[in-house]
Amino acid sequence: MFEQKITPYQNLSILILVSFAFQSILMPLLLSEIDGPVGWMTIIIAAVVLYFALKPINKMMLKYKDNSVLSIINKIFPKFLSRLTGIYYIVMFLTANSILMKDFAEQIKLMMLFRTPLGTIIILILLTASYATKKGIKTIANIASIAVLIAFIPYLLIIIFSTYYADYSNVFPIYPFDVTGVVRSVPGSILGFFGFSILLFSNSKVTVQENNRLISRKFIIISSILYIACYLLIIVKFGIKESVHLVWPFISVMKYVNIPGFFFESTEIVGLCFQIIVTFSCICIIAYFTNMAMQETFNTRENGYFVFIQIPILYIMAVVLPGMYMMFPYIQWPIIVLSSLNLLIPLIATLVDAKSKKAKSN
Amino acid sequence: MFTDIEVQMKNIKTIIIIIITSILLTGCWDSVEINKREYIFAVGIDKNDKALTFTSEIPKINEGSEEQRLVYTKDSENFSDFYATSYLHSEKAISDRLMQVIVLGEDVARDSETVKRIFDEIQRSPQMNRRVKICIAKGKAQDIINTEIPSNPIVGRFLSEMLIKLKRENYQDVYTFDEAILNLGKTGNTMIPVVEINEKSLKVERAGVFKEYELKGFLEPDEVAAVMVVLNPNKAKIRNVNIMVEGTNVSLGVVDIIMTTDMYLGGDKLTVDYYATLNSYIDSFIIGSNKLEDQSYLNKIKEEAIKSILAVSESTLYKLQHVYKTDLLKIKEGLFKYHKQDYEKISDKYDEVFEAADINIHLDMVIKSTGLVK
Repeated sequence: MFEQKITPYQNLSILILVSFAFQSILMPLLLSEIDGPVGWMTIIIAAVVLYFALKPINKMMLKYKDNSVLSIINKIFPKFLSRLTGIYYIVMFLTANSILMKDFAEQIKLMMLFRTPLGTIIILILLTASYATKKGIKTIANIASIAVLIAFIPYLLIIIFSTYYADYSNVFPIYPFDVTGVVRSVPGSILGFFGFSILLFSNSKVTVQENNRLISRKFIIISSILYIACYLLIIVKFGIKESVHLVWPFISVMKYVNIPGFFFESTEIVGLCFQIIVTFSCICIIAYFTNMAMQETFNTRENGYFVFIQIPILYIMAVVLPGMYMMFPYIQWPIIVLSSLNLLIPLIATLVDAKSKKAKSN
Repeated sequence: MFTDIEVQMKNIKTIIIIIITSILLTGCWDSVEINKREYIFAVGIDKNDKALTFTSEIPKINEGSEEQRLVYTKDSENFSDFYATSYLHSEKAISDRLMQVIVLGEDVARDSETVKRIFDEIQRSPQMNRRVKICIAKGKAQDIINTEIPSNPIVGRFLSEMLIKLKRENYQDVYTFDEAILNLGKTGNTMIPVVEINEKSLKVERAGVFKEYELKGFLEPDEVAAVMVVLNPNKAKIRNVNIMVEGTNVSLGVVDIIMTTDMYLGGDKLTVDYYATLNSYIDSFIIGSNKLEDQSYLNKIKEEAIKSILAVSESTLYKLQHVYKTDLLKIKEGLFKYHKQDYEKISDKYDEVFEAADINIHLDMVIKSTGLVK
């Protein structure tokens, strides 16, 4: 909408929240693809790859201040390619958002609103999130930074209470490990760091962009620590053999929350309440950056009204898509393609930009 | 930019939308009040000719009657069928969200297909908590649920608290459905508490040996204690060791156990050595004798005590290896976690390897104290 800037801390909150949402959705994939409890190796590999990829990308974004990767691509690539890239990001964000909404709506329906139609739950989530999206990045960033404090952190603390009677030796065996499985699950782990795709847009909205490199590194480190901690939590609680069968590992973990003196029987409801705030924030964030991608692809002055275009598309996609657990057998290749493109597009842009700079100086 | 009237109109519209939204978005359109619900606290499942017999216990809340609970018995195919039938037979809505205990009848526990179906339904249910306690009834689960306990009329609460206590004090390894299914998934074996009628109450002393979702047999209290020592030596409880030394009854209490385990898998030959040091106190002797000051007498006490404990341990091991052929000691799990390469060579014939395994217990006892008197 109007020019708005966010603080580096708000940017970090956005990146961590969005990454967490996708890490929890893709966790069953990480658990089932590897034969053994060594998924943390995959996460470390993914984090290292992204960590080193960030340096040239941040350098390029600092050079083109206040420009997202898409607008940089618009400047350095031919029009056709830049449009294609823009459309790719739009479709990617729309798909990711609809999967997030669908998965979350299914959890709400199963655990809380058993008899409410799924479509009703999805449209209500969508309308509520769209209202916040239309207000702009500053509102969304405020929501995200508050959500981290009042929802995300308590959510993680509550989950820790589920480790009563957990078997910590379930993290073994470490060696010999399934090398093929670890390598095969790296694209899924890279995609789990969804904040990497978001930072390509959000970094241009930060007030002090010189700090972006530090913030991006902090994001990778914090996100990977959280990802590994959550993975290990599921492993110590259920063991690798049982966790492979779980549809929503986090909900299953929350069923075991055992806070001394707590009188709730359905402790997963308490966790779900926090998860509602986290997921709503993530949906707003992704919807906003879809708006931004649309604005830069179609060269419009404002982006707020794009959310009205998104609403029916997201609704139809969310209703039509099968649940995440039904898609797992078929999403191996799409994940490889998506995570490769997410990584390669900004890297190719930095390469092309560096070459054109060299050519100009020559 | 906007006139006062336009701002006012905008505010009024916003307020109306907020009011309508907050009424419509509460999500309580299908709610049922608590006094219109019946919460099942305990369920007993037995087999009959055609299907299963479900016996449910429902505490009465705030009804002012003398009866503290209702007990329903229905024949159903499974839990869903049972709820559907119960729904039509009561003016209230049945809910299993507060279920405390599931009691499997002995006949059900001995049928692996039925157990698998029941366990699958429980783990799929988003309403049923996986932390629901589980136990096996010696005989019929219906008799257990129907037991009238004067001090605690709600059998579900009684059993739940009993099982929590036994788990906390390390008398039993498994007390929840979740632990049972995790063990069965990991190793194919588990030990589930057995509940029996004890005069006007219930007791949980023994444990049922489960292998591949089928009850193979029972372990006596001493045998359960021996298994618990191996599984969790730091918190295990050994009952008083009562022995006769030179015509005098001596009772020892084991206060803590230090244990190390050595596992070796050479080809198909598995050797497991447990080295345990039992630190114990003398609990009772006899007044007037000062033999406890004599080191050689103390050594005799130690020898007799070790013999007594070893006898129980070895008979337990024999039962597990040769009678039930069930690895409750989690040796398989240890091999998988710490000797994975060797384990993978024998994983498909582990049962035979376990039966032929050389499992040894080496005990040492240290009498730390004779109490407050010599």
